[in-house]
Amino acid sequence: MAIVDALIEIEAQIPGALDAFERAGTSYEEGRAQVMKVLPSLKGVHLRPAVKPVPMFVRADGGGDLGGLDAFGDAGLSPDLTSVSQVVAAQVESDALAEMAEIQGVTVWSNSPIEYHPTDCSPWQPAVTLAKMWTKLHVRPVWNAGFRGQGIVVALLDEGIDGTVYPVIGGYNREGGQAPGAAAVTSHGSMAAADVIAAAPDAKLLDYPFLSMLSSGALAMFNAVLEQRRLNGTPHVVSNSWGYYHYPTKAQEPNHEVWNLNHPLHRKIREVVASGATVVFAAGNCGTPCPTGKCDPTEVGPAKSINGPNALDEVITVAAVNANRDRIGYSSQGPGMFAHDKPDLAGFSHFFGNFGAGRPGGTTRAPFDNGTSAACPVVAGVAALLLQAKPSLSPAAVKQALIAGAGTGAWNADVGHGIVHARASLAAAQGAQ
Amino acid sequence: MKRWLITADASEDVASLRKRMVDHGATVDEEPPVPLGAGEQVLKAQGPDDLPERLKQEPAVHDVYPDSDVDLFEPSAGSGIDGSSSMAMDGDFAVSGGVDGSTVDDASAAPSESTKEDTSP
Repeated sequence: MAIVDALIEIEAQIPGALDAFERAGTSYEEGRAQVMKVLPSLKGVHLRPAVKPVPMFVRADGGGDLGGLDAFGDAGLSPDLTSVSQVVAAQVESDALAEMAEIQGVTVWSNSPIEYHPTDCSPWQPAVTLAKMWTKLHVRPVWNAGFRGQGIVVALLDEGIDGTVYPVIGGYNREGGQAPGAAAVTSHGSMAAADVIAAAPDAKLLDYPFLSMLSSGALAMFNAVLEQRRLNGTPHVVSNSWGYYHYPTKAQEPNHEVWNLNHPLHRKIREVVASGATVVFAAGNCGTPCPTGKCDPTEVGPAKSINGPNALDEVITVAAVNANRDRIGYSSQGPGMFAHDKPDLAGFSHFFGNFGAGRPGGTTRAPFDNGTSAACPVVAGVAALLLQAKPSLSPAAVKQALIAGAGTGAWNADVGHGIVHARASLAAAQGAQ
Repeated sequence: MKRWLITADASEDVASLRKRMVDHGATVDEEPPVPLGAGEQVLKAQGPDDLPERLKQEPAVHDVYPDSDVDLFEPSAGSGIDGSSSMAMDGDFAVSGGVDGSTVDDASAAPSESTKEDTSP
């Protein structure tokens, strides 16, 4: 018998309801007595010792009647009110739910679990091993089911990858530019490579080192990705851990990447998504309360820090949490400056992937993999697992599966729809049309 | 001089366009233009801050967009996450590999989901 958490709303006109609520908080007996007064007697309803009813003053259908609440804005003491209903939190057996739905004047609502997202800020929480990150990612069951990224190619648009350490099979290669796989193991791109492979150990990588010297810009890189798609249908996933700092005002430069949705870069990214590639972007590191020092004060915090291509509706935008599932305090916050519901979800950062004592990249550049830069390729790796399991998934379906796996349903500005969960996303992907 | 992206008709001759851009104080990059959609191409150029204004009278040019610098999303020095950090490491930190594909090896050696660390339902 399944038991679910529910909120039971019972029509009940209780005079002096706010005072009654206060009294219910003074003792378990009083709270329980108040509940018993309004709650119909039903089998299969379980109450916690500290239960007390919460009065409601405005009906669900509203009707414009504010129940006297509008007087609360006046200075001085306002009169107590009569409730229109009382809401009781309970655990309810599934059979009782159906019975309850038949009772006149009773409505049953979901009472979904919520998660507290404390912020990991300097001084930072300790970084964790890959093994701990895998546990939090719930990725081992996906591997055990045979999905480790075999046959899936992930492109990294970054500053280049060390191909002697990570499985680079090609990329953007032109005279005078840095060849694919030729970057140092301490590069940012090598970190991103480690973090894709951390989630999808058997995936292969394409290296587009546009942030290294003598390489071309982002527009040309996405066009090169499109050409590669035309040639052999790869890459399947494109991971991007970069973006814009110090952008001008809209009045100063209305055609800037952060303001104009039809900038050629954004149109090219949409072309890449339309070709069937899943494009993942880091949310950025200008969140409050501990933005990175690169951020201008005007671009810090909610509604200002997810801008440019990572705010496009067509891409998957990734915030950062640590292995405690705490939001990392620099992770940029939504809403996005184009699409509202950004970030889409959060990935894990602050673990020993490429960087760390004994890791390939050592500790010279960073003590551990960090930034939304690390969280993004982890999610790109999970996307690779989903695509191996179900190659027919469209970019939109991959995004939906990742969001469904994150599990909260609701969106918030810090972590979007929740935290990446590989096993649950695989289940969602396999159930997708 | 600032970097710009110039969109123009796909049918426009690039060599001719390059020459005309010089008259407006801009230098178009040597690399081939990037095709965009069915009927456009994008040229990278360097030019003065008022290039969009200057090109308003150029019939082949659709629009002019900034080609802004991008940066990596890694916390910078001063954020507390840098090589000098005295960050404590996690208690059971243990890495078996070196610079020899150890990340992949770690993954293949991963314990099963039944590990006690996993508190998933």
